[in-house]
Amino acid sequence: MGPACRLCPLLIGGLPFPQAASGAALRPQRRRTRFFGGHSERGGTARESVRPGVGLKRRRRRHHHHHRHLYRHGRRRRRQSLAAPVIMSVSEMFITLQGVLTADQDIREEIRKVVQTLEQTAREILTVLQGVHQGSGFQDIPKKCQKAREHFGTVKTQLASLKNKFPADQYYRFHEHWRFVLQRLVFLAAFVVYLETETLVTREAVTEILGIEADRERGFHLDIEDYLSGVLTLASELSRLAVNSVTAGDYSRPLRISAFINELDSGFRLLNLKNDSLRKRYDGLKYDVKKIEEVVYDLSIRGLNKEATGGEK
Amino acid sequence: MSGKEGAGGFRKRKHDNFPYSHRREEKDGINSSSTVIMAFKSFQLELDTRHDKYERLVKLSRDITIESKRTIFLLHRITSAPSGEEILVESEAKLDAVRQKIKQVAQELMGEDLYQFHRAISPGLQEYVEAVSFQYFIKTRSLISIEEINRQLIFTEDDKEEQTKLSSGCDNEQECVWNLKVTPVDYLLGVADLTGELMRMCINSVGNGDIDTPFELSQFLRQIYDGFSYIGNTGPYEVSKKLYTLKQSLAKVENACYTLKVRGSEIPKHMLADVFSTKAEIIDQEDGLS
Repeated sequence: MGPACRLCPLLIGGLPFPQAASGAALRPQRRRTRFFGGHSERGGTARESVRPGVGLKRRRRRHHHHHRHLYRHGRRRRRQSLAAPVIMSVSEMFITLQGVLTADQDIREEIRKVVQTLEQTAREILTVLQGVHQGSGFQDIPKKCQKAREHFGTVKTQLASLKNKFPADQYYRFHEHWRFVLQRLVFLAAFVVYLETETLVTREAVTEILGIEADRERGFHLDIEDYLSGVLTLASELSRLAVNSVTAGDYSRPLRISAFINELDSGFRLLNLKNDSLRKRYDGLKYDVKKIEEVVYDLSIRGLNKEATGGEK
Repeated sequence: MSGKEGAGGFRKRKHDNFPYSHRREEKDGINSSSTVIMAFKSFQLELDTRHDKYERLVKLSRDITIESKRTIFLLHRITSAPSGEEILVESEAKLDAVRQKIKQVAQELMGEDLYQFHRAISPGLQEYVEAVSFQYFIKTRSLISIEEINRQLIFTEDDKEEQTKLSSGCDNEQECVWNLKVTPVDYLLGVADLTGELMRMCINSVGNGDIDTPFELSQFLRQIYDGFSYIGNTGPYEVSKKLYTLKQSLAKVENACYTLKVRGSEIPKHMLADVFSTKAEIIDQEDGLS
């Protein structure tokens, strides 16, 4: 949980920038140190528990200073109530809430910036990997995977900095911001692993490639739905790869892809999906399956699959 | 559970019509112990657990909403009731019941990320904020603060029977403390709904010949409106959407006060009640239309 507001220690809950109403515009640097450097000496709650009255008074004055124009009227009453449980006027409450909301916006802004860089890296990786669809690309797949893996190093550092932009226990609060890019990265990681070993990447392996945690308890993790979405993207990419590998004269690959996708399909059929975005994407899987089956059919009706498995030219 | 299995069975039957299905079923048989299938079996478990929890929370949220609404209706009777004391006591009991539901929510959410399931419980919490702040206003004529609300949502285990029932939920009994924090946005939305109730209360009290309450209410509503204007569009979209309704409520109350003032100077005090009972009806109709 982030440090609480010096003025209103109880209000903040998990919100890290309670000061923003007063602090954001006026003292951006201090706000930052407080957030990243922990709550050593200024942490509201710690102090509050030791000396409830005194610290509060000073805090209120300071806070008041920035909002003098807004609550000129409630002054006397506040002084009286210092010793008693704090009674806030309506405007004070709203000022605090506004601070909370501004702080929230600041966090979202920071997250958005990092996510943009992540999206850039993801595009770069995609560009590298798209090369395999080209006729010549089939020869140097290992090289392309190697190159992509280098890019994943950048992803790791970028995700590490994303981790620091918000309190660790509020993952799902800001989840929407990185959901898309994370799914994309899962797909890319799964694609690399598939090209290398022709197996489905495990969830743990993805988290390792991306430098994040496997389960929620330990911090920035990979949500299961995001993982599954990424895997579904892989399926449609592979159906495309099956077509292109035939064009490039590689007749054995579609058969292997077909086996892989079929296994994936029966895996997904085990899941009871709700009517959400994952379900919609899952509904697309059958078309990928169909596409690959058509390719396999075309090959077998011409005897090309025998050629592939039999090892003839 | 049986429903889910039924759905799965249905899906399978549907696939039987598919020309390739026979071959694929065969493959399923071969691969049923492969790593991929094993992984997906664990995913199935994880997703089902999550969805079940979500559904339970939605149900709790609906219960909270209904009970909170009833509390609000009860509190509206206070304007015409001879003694407000009884109604306040009754509403307190009702809110306690709501809090028991919220305790269940808190128990469900123990060890979870609140925001992962926030969409399930948010409507209920907003309605609760509305009810509790309405009651607080009637009692103290001031706005309840978010920390006051949250303070009431800290639950400790004191019921014996529940302790046995939930002993599996918490490992050591001295640490059976749950709390739920209303998020600032939920609080704001709840308070925005509160203003609608206050408007109704104002019109009702005018109808009952109460001359002071409307002025008090208009002042209070103005404070809240100022507060919301101060927030403006810093908050999420829903908050700014409420601002419009809030403005309408405020206008109604201000107009009521205006009429009260104008008519009050020309009509003898004992006749005021009649004047406003008709006026109130007109406004209520407008409210019903909008």
